Amino acid sequence: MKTNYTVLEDANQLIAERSFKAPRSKVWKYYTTAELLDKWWGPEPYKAVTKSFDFREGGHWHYVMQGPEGDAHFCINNYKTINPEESFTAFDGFANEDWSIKTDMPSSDWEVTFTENGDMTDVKVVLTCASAEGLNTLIEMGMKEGFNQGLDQLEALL
Amino acid sequence: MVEYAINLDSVFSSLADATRRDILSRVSQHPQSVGELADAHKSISFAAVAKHITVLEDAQLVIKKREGRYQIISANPKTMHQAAQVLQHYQALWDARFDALDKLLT
Repeated sequence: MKTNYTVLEDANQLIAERSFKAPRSKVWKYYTTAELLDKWWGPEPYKAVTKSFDFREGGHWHYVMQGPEGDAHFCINNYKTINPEESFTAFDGFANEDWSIKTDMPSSDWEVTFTENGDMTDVKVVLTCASAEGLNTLIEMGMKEGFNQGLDQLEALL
Repeated sequence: MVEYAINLDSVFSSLADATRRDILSRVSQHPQSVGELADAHKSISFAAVAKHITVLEDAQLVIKKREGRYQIISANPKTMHQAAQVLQHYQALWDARFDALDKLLT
């Protein structure tokens, strides 16, 4: 199964969509239970280790992303709205060791929607970046020949 | 974890403006003088165009070079490349996550 990515025109949103062959209640459970999140959130080769989890509106998920070389990154999710088994919204960012939000690292707001589709469940993640109106521009420009040539030259230099 | 060598906020916020996106698009095709860029944006003042260029320069998206009596603006592919890498990093992250979830669910 492939993940489908879209960048919204004139918006600072990146959308990731994926279908899973499982009932919606099960997918929801894997998304909203700390022990289960720790099993897949990773991402490889990282391992997510939950430190504190409180899945409710106004609640949070504090976890550490542990790297293969002993590096650790503190991550924070603040849950905003929850419609059980249908959708939730959250703030996602990096944290300092005292769980205060790191403002110099990229952060985003998420809306995660779960839709039943026959015996599949469609998961749609809408990432809204703090100041990423330029996402689209970057992708568009990446396709421009002049820019690609510039990149080729750069690659040759590196 | 990717180390962000560029200031992503300044990159993305400087790209949030349509005039600046247009300036960057023009200079990424070929380097141009400040005067040429001002001519292409007649609806705004020369000073305003110069200010937009400074914002792009601060974000390291463009490089300003003096050639005789002209100031030549060119795109900085290094910053563009790094920003594009950040996007690829996001995609790789979600691919890995969803693959892992898929394995557990089925």
